[in-house]
Amino acid sequence: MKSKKIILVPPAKFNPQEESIKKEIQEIANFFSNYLSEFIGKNPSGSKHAIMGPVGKIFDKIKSNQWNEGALFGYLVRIHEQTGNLRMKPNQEENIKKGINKLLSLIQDVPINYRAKIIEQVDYEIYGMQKTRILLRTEEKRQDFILYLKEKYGDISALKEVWNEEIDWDHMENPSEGRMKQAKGQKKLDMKDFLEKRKKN
Amino acid sequence: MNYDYIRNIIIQFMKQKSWDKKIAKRKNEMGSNLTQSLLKHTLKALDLFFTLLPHLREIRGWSDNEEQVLILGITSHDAGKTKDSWQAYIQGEGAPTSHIDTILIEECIHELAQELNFTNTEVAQLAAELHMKRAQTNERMLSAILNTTDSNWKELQQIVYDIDNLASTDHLFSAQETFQRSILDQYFHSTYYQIQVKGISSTLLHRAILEEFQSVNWIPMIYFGNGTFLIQKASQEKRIPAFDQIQKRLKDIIKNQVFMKNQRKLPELVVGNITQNFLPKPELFDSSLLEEFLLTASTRAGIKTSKNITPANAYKYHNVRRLLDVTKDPSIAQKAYVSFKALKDKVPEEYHQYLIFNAEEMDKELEMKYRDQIGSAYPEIAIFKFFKNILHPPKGLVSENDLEQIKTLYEEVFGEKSFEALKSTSTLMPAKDKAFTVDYFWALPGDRYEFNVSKIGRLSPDRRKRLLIKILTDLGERIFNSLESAFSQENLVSGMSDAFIRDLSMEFTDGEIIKKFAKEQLKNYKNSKDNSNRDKETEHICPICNEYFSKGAVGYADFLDKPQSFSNRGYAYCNTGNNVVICKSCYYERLLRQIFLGAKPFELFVLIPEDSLSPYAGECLLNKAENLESKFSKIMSPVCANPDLRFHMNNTYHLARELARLDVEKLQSEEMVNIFTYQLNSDTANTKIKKLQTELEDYFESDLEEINDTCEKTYLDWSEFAKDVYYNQVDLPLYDDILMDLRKRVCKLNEPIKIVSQTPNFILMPAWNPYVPEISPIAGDKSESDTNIGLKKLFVSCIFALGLDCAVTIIEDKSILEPAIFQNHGRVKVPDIPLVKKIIPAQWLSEEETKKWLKALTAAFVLVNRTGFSERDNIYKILTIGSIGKLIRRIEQKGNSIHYRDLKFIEDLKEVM
Repeated sequence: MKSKKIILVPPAKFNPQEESIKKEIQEIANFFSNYLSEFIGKNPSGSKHAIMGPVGKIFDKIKSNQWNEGALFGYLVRIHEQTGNLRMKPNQEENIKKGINKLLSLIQDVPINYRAKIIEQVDYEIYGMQKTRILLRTEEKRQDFILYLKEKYGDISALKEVWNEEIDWDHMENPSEGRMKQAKGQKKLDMKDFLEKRKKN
Repeated sequence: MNYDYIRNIIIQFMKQKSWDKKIAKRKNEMGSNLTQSLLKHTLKALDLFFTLLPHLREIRGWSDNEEQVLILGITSHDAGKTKDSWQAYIQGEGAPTSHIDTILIEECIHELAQELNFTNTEVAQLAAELHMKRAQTNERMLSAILNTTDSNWKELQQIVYDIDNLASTDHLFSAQETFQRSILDQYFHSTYYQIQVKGISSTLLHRAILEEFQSVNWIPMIYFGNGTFLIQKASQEKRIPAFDQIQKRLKDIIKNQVFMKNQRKLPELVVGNITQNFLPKPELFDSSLLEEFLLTASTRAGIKTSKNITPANAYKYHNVRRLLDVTKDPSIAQKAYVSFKALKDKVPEEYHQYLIFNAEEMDKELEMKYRDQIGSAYPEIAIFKFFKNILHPPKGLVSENDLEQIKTLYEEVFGEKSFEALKSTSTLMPAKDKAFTVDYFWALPGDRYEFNVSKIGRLSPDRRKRLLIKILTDLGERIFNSLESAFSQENLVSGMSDAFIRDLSMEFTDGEIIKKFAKEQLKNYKNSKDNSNRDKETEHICPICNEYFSKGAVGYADFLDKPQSFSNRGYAYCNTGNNVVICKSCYYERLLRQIFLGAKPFELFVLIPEDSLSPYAGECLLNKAENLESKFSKIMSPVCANPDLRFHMNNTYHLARELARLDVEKLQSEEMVNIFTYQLNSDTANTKIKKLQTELEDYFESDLEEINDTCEKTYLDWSEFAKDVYYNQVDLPLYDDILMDLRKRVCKLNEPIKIVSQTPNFILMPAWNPYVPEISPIAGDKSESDTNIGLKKLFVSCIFALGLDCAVTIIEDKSILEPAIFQNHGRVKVPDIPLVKKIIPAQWLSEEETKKWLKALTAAFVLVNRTGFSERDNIYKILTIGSIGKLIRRIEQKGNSIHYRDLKFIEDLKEVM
């Protein structure tokens, strides 16, 4: 009797750039990003560490593949309590749960050697979203400041005179605490006044 | 009716309805990405109709009402394609559905009729609805017959149907077939011509053919890359222009468009490399330009200091000079041009007493004097060498029979035996050349040329050079006047037109001709197999174009890539190590490319109609290209007024910054001039002016008075004069060429690109890198990776494609053009580079993709410097970084920051990640 030859069919090559994977990563990132949009840290700064908040902490745990969904959620909640200024809201909680759940199920579906890469992609996707959000918020603040100055001084020539500085609306700086401290004279006062009013609102 | 006005209203109408964003046609062949927007398709149909209309009106006696029906019918015939379901279907995302939509057509007709104040909408609706064969059911046709009051409705409906079909054709034969099947065929003769596309010669040939056809009342209807479909009123006798008439016209075009316009570029092409082939293109020689050729030749070997001349040259010169003085016979003297070792054997014993046999015998002071003289004679050696090259059969321009006559004239000037001495020189051997050519010139009495010196040799090197050029130019004129054969470009022009006309084929009426042609080609291929490297009149097949020929031209590296192993066929033909022989037509094509550009092109930008062009669209493309050419020329030309304004293609950061200010979706050809030019900063300009000043002082031997005597303006110092020369504000006709040459050299005023636009069939732009000729003009430097260069090419292609509204592909000069013309399946060809293909697997980008990629590449080029990636492959790295977050992080880690204004770039990049 003829022996039957076994034909081995190699699995289809995994492509981390595939549209469906990209979509899933985007979805996961959206959950975490939504959570972060309402997270206010105790020590806010521009570092990646600060921008990613508690979310940045869980990726190493996921990479180790030893933490389950509940443990990861608990860990994140604890970090939130330690580093956040406000208590976690129900919708934040929901976003985290969904994000962790989706991420873990995606990780289970990809080959082991691609897991770290996928986690890295999620990490950067969230960072990109957060950074974009910050830039938009900063620009909004800058535009508000321009509006404040326009209301107060009318045209740019009046502002130039008061501030004693060559300046135009397009190149107006974003009024941050740091810039305010460095500024002098009326410029400092204007920035201070604007920031205080904004805080109150 | 004012048709331009109507056309503009219709374009606005279609734009308002976003027809430019809706797809009307899509090719689904392998690798094809050719889509045509509804606006473009409708406009093409309308333009074809407007081309026919004046004649149809005359033939058919149509009223305004009937014309209105046709305009409305043609414009609205595909209105149903705007449906979302149909758009999904055409993009492969939905189920098949019909595009005949009575409601949409009716809406479109009524709205447009209101805009145009047209009244007859009933028949227009019918014509639009029945423009598809499938829609012409018995039921609909019967209903139309019963319900339509206009008795002429069927003819009008048929014309809408035929015009739509004609506008949908995508090659010459189908255009001809469609037309012959149509109702229009009874009113017009139709024909086409086809050419074998080779390059610039094909653009000239297209023009000659079209002009000749138009001269006998043919009307170009549809332009394709390889030919044109034409019509003529049936009331006239069908007259196809004869080949010899076309050839005559082609000759005139070559003369006017090529040689008249590019005379200044010829010397650089005619004068080759002094150590290799000094006369690489003898065909381009024109005796009337001898002075310019000699001047260029003098630049091929600059003056050297004695340090750079070896002592061996001094010893050899001493021996040769002594024998020449003693015997006056160059044939004996040249025997002494050997090493000390061979001297005794080579030179007859009776002359040994005049020679030195070792270095110690040579007086050191004399040795230094000889070395100094040889070094200063280099430019004159180069001038004599070029002169000898043109008079040297068989490679030169004269025959053996002419030599006696030339000898008499030459020796009248330089003395007895001087011609024999000149003839005995070959490759550059400074000592021998000095003794056998320059010394005869230096020995001439100064007073013969009104110089206050005993011998010419006592003049300054520059005066000697100028005098020698003048003497040889006069001598050349006398020589060429005395010879029977003419040495003008006329011969070359005739040769070119003879060769190029062979690329033309007229309408095939008999299938047997094709069969016969194929049979012959097979026979020729077989017979010519052994002859590919034989430069003899025998059976050949051109390895570039597959044409059969008997007498061709040897393919030198100057115009062919690796001529000794050219193409796969080179290996198949048992390569003998000789250069491959190519047909005259391909040889002249390569000459033309160099004449237009003034140098060997590295790349050809090929601008082609996306599929075909109507007369109006063709005219638009041609106007845009001509406009761009005239603006680019003003900036790049050596006579430009402001050399601070420079053309560039490789400063992609600058290109991207300029593009970022514009709306890529609406890129205009006028904006391209700003994109591709930049202003030198004042420090760089001042450095160049100073360099020019040094060159001017050298040339005029610090004699400012000589300039002030001949110039209206009085210059107080050299810097003032240099500045005026720099900005081309000097009026010195006597020194015009010299000043232009110095300015061109110092300011590096070369034309890196030339736009050759003759007809709308296709436009070519040969380009080279004047600073590093062996790399692409788009590349930054030699170390840049092919992938990065590929992406830069894609970027530049996208700019041209959107700016000029045509398809663009960039091929290397060594590549064959024909596939680029025939295989256009989209807007921009993606370079065939593996890693570029990894990012963009498609062969061609569609219009929408072109816009998307142009935005993404603009963003990548703007952000690239902040990422700190290696310049070798930084663009590839950005595009494959994976996520925007990673890119932002990379920029931050390199100590740079991302601003709000960068968000636009980030979003554009995200689209392709």
